[in-house]
Amino acid sequence: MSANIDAIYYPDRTTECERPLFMIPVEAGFPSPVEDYIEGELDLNKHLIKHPAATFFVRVAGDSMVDAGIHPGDILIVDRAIEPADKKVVIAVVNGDLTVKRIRMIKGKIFLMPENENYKPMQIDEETNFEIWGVVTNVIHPL
Amino acid sequence: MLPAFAIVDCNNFYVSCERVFNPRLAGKPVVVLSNNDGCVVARSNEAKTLGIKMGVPVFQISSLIKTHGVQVFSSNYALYADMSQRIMNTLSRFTPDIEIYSIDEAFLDLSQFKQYDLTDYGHKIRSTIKQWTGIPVSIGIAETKTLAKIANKIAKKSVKAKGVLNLTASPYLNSALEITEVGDIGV
Repeated sequence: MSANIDAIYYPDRTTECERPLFMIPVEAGFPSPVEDYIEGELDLNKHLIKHPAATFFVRVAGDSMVDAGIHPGDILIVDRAIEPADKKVVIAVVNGDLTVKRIRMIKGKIFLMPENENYKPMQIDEETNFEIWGVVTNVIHPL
Repeated sequence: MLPAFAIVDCNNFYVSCERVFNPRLAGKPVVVLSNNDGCVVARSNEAKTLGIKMGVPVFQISSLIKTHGVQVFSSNYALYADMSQRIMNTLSRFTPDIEIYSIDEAFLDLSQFKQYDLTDYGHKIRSTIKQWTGIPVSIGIAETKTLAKIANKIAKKSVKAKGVLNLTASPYLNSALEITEVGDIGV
């Protein structure tokens, strides 16, 4: 399995930027008058970072998770304070390499599942040097 | 009632910071150099075992570096400051009384938690810091800050302690005092 993490960044938590949050049902139709729908202010730092002390940003390099909506160049928000659990998307360390995969814990066995049919699942065995680095909570993907 | 202090001290802090972002460095000898890459200011345990001393000018160990494949890093203080802030923020969840002692050390006043098992509490602190930040720490707990420092020193070396030594109401207090020189006293 190839490493597919490009770089790790730490968030700048010193800035605040609150923007109005519009609670409109988004349809590709006629625009509605929006003043009635402003729910409040939304700061993306606060919305996306629940545990600032444990949160890191990771840039993705490979395409093994495209079916999960994770593309090369995307930024992942990784929260190390969240307990890893079955079906979570995680950053794992496999024999020294950082990789992003979905973790499956089945009958006491651990698998790292890619979400791209061109890649194979990997079973973690006794010989694998394995550690979960953090749990991915969000992906930032430009459209 | 006697107070209880814990000192939380990061193991090989600058090296541990580098390892969080580069897991391939695990198990290898790693050193971090001072500004302008002059002297060694942090060493992994593997580098310590090779006999690399704190503060040694890097040119004096160039053959050691080559022979043993020692990984050498320039210091990255922006990274270390960020990691330090994360650790201190995480520690402040465990007590309102925290005294930041240096970039990689803090005293926690745990007097109000004496009804709990402070050894367990110490292990909880240690595992939380490891999970949230990736940094391994050692914790010494005792009735004075100086004794906590001694407990910490032993916790760092003792395999049995698993990184936490609690000397409050401990039968081992006297033997701890016998085997330790107290750092940070005097000059």
